[in-house]
Amino acid sequence: MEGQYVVFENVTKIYKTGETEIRANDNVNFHIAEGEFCAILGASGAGKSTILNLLGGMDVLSSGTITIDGRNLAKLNLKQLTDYRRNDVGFVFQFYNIMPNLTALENIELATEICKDSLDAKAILGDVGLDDRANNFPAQLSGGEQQRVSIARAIAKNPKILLCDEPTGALDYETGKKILKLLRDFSKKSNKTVIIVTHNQAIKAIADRIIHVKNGSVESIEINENPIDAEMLEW
Amino acid sequence: MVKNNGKGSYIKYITRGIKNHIGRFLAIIAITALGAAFITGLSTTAPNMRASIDAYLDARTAADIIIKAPYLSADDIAALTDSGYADKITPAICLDADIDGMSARLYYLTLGENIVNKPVLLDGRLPNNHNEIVVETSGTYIKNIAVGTVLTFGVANIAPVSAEYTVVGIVSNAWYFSKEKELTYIGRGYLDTIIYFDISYYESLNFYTDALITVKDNAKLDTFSDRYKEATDEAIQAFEALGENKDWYISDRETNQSFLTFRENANKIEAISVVFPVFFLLVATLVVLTTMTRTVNEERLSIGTLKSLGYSDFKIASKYILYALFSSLIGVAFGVISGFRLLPAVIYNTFSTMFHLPELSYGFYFGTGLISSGVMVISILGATVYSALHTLKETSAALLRPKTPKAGKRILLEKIPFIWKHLKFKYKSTLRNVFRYKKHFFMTIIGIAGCTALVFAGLGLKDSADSITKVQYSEILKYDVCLGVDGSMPIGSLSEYLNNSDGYIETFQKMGYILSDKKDVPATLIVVRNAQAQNLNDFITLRERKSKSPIKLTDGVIISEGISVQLGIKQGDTFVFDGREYTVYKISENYVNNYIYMTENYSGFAFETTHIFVKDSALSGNADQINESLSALNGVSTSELLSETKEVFQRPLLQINFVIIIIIVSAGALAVIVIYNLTNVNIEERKKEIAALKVLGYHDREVAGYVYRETAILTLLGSIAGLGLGVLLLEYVVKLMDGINMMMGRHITPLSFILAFAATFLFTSIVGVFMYGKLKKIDMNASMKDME
Repeated sequence: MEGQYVVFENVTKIYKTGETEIRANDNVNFHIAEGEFCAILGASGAGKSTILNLLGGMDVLSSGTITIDGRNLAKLNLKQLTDYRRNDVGFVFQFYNIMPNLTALENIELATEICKDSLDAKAILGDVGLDDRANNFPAQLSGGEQQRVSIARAIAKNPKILLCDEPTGALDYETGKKILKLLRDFSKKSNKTVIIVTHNQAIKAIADRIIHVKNGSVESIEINENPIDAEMLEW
Repeated sequence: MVKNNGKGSYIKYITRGIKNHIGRFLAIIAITALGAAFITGLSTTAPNMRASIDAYLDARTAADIIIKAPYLSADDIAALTDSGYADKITPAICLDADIDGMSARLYYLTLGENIVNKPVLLDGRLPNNHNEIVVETSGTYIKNIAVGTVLTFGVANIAPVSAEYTVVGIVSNAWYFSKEKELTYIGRGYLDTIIYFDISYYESLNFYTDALITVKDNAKLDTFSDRYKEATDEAIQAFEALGENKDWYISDRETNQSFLTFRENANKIEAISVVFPVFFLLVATLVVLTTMTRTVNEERLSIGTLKSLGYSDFKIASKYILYALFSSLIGVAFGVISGFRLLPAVIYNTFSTMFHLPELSYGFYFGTGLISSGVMVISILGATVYSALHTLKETSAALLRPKTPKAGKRILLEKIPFIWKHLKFKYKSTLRNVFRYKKHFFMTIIGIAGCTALVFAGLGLKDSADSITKVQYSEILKYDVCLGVDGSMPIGSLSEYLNNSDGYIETFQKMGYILSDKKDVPATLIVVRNAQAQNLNDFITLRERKSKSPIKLTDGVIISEGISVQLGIKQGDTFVFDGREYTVYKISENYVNNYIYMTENYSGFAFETTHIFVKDSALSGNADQINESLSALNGVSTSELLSETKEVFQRPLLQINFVIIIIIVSAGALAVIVIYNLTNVNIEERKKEIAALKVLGYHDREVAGYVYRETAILTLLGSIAGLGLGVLLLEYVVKLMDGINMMMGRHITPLSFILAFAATFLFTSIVGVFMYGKLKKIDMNASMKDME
């Protein structure tokens, strides 16, 4: 259904520690269309990390349904969730998480060698502008370059959705903007759904859809008809 | 984390540190405990055994010196007393005789509390008249004769008329504390019983054959010490002066079978008890020390935080120092206490099959154990302090920033594109990981190699011990019985038993010592007739150990390998035996006792038949079955069955084998803990990496593969290195264990290599299965955080 590529319906996640229950997500509802560049915004502790974990198949929900391209994550077992992460999700971390002992190219191959419809690692590295850095090790790369490797690794899997956890959190202002532009361009060029989880309000301006999270629930959803170019962004 | 509100939260910080790394903490306790227990236990075993026997011999007033003579008068005894060297002298008549179908040693002496070699009553009572006797308690060869048994016999020269004697008591004499064969010149060559008569009921007996003597103040000395030997030798010299021209034969405990075998065994245990534990401890120390270094490195962020909060370097470092101190001290305390009681008791108990043993007394022979454990704790602390201070030298800002990962290095293999290009991606990353940190790489390999080496050396030692009897009594000695004959006896009287002239060989044998500056090595000279030089090989294999090539007796004097090892003499060297000088022609493989072989013309002795080696093929029947009849033959003084001798030599090896098994088991235990610890540290260090792999969609098994492939390669390299190291270790220990009368085998079975190698892999696999759960539990959220 048009506009219903990613759907959260009455999603609740409860963490139990002994007698106490923590409702990290309480009746969360939203949907994201295919090819959309979406930002999930909220202060720390608002429940956005839980949404990220559920969306990324890293955790199981307590009740409700999460549908990605028509597939209900609530019905998947742990092994199927791993396969989902493997084939359908590209993940960009705040701290890159690339393997220090592998070259840029090899870090991408680390992901592509295990998934079904992966793209050519070398070509993707070119797409993120790291053609000449293919054989460098992470220690020889700047933070921005490392994040590009991380993005290339996520893209190369040819996933259904790209999940980014504070992708600019560890980067300086200029570099951060370039990374956002890279992500936005990827989304538009290849019509891929990109979801950025962040506390950085500035990102609103470049997103198609902004989901505000507060106290474990969706506070409001904004549609941005005229997102600006990431390079114009200021924070 | 830490609130700056007093000591409470800092202590919490430390105890939580232990809790968070509980696996590691327990592993350090276990490794140090094992190391300390092993060294304390083994190093105290031999001293405790010796001390127990020393105390036992003193408590039983065992003789220091025995003088034997055809005739000792009351005047002689008085002269010995007047010499001032003796503490106590017990005169006795002692002779070996055939009585009632048994080879017996008879003692006539004043039975009571206050005598030397006092027979202590175990059952019944002491004799009340001249028809009552007490007998020695049974051993493996000494027969069990119940109280109430009546024996009928006469004793030549003393009580020749056959009479009935009733056994009224069972006694134990510390002089005969071994349960093994007590040799005699009569019958089959060993005693069936020892009988004690109270001489006070035999008034006609007014002479003695033996003076059992304790030397003044010797009881205060350790009977195994040099000072004891000096004091005894001094007394012997004084007695020799008295006995000049009187045909006295003076001997000390060195001629006591029980004493000698016990000392030999204690020495062997001591030989293994130094090298193994020290090696063991080295491995343990190394592993713990690496663990502590890695723990400090892992916690850079916490260290940086504390530093920025204004904690002093000393206070920050003290967490790690206390962590190391607690774990290693708990381990050492536990190890020393358990090792000190457990190992000596267990090993000592195995000796009860060979000896009538007193209770084991636990002396405080902590020196080796405590010093080595102390060195271990200090090394661990030293390494911890060093790496803590090293980390603390960085500014807190640098510590708070994630550590710049070391540039992933290209490894040697990448320079060979032919191989590298064809490797699967996952193997490439594994190989790079393996070689990523040189220090971890070497520490892990050395740790694993140490364990493999210990397991291998243990197995190899068992091979060496096994091959002694296996090779000696089936490949080298091939006769079935050795008959000692009077030189005067013509071979003809044996002829009804010997029906095949190829099945026996006559020899001239002489026991003596090869004297040298270093030590005197006992050896048996075996001479055959010139014409029969070729035939000896049918009874005793003369061959070189390594090449197995046969040695011809016709060409010169051959010595057994033990002599060569003990004296360091080689082919072409000369040696002196019984006043004659010989040149070594060849050295032949041999493990038990020492032999010199030659033909009549090389010997310089006039050939007379003293011993005949006989094979079953020459006998109408099997030697075991007809041995009784053979030994009863007139003119046959002794008959030694090879099968029995083999048993005698096998028994002490059983105890050694037991110690070896303890070594193998401990080495195995160490290996398991070491591998667990290394894997655990490896996983904890790379939690973030593992979490990231999981987020990327790696299945648990693939994640395990990623981690375990590395472990497998390290285990492979470590265990190969370990086999090499093990060969060296084994060679060293085997040499230490060579005794004067027994050379350890040098043959290692391929199975030992395979087993040591396989065991290491098995341990790694077990640990892998065990750690799989831990891998599964690693939270993917770890990849979201910067650091712990």
